[in-house]
Amino acid sequence: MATTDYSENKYSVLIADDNQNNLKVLSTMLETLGYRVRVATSGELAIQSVKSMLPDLILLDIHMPGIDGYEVCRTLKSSDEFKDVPVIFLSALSEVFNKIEAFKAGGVDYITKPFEFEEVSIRIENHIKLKEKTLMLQQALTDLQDKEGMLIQSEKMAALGLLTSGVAHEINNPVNFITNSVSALEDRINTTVSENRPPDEEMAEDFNKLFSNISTGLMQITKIVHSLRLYSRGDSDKMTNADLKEIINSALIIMHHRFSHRVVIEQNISTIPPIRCQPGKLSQIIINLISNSIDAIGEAITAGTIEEDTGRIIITADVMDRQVNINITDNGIGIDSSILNKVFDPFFTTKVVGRGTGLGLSICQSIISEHNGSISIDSTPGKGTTVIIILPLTGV
Amino acid sequence: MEDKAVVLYIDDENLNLCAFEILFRKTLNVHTTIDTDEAVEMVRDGKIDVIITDQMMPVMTGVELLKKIIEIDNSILRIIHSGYVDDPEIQQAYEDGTAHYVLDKPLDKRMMLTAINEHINNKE
Repeated sequence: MATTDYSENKYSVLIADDNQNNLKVLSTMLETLGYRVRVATSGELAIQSVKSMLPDLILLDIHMPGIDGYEVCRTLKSSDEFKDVPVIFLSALSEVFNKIEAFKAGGVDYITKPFEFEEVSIRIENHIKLKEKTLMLQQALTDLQDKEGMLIQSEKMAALGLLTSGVAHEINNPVNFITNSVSALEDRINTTVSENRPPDEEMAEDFNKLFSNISTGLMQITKIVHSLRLYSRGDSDKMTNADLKEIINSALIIMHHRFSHRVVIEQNISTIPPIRCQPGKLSQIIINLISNSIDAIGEAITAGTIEEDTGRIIITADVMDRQVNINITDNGIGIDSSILNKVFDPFFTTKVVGRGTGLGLSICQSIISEHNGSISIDSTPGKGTTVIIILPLTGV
Repeated sequence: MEDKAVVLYIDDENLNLCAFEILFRKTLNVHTTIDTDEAVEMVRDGKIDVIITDQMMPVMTGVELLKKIIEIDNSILRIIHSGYVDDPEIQQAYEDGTAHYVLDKPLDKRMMLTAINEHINNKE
């Protein structure tokens, strides 16, 4: 593999020309300017030289025996390893010189003979600087893409955290009364056995209640586990026919612990035929939007625009003109009109540092786009917000 | 046999109340309610030794309820019984003495009974 030659911390320039006189003039000029100079007297030698050690810039004569300059340039530009080295063509004014072909071959510039010291100096310096800046920009872009990937990952982890803590709390409640019921049954049975006493009426009544508690608890847990299948199913990211009502219900079960004590959620969902969608991702959107609404209601209570315990979220869904309209309306703090057009921008957030990545709505928007739908927001500060999602009924 | 400790248990899930009542009927004098305002009234009527309350409830949180109870009778043993033991409000209540104990869900029966017995013995 070729390596960049910085051994003397000077830029290196390769000059390829079959004319010894030209080589001599240019070499002297470039050495005076502080460049390290290598020479090649033919196209083949030029390519070999580049392969053995990558120069910072190449001055390339067009008319050489064997492979001509255009061909040398095209060869270099077709290789990932060499394509970033800037090539400046050399040409005599008297020669037949096709500028267009030179640029098409991948040259960045050309210098005409006889060489003028100043011109050669400026053109070489410009292109070396340009290449360095380009490399820096490429690096910056790569860094940014890496960071973006990390943030999207952390948003996913945050969503996962929300999901698991929700599920843990929802399951914990029935587990608590099942545990106590089982423990009570155990006590009663032990008493019966040790005292050798037949069950009386009171005990029969207790048993009835306790068994009913246990089966209710198990039913609750089953329902929660069932709603989780939407996420664990291997095809949750694939397009499949799914029931929107089920998607919304499962999101509400998972979010239950976050709103049940503060916010009333009303649902008004008409009969909707199965829609073609990625159920896991749609549920992620519903969770995200409800989570935003709960936060907005919390802020409204703090700001005093609504009373405590009057927080309300209304979810409606219906079909019109072969489209499914989903509206999620809250009576939270609302969004100021000056930032309403920014809320879908990646990384835009009004939450304090560490409370949000600013990617929630941006990810919602890209998921809805994948579904060929649209998402928009209507909000009045101090009154509340409605998020409007429109999905095509036939899906994608 | 000495008198059983009078325990008031508050939770917004009826099944929790029901299971608790049947489980401890023999060892404790159990009263339950789903309604925090009613709980305050019951404390006002007197004779409660121990209050065990859920944290997340619709009208007021368990910690808020305990603060009201303290104003009425400071001698009652105050226990928060919640699945949210990491909740900052609970942590704060434990540190400043609003709650004497914080018990995780599901309930550790022995820990609760030990706490109650200790409280009753100290009182006597």
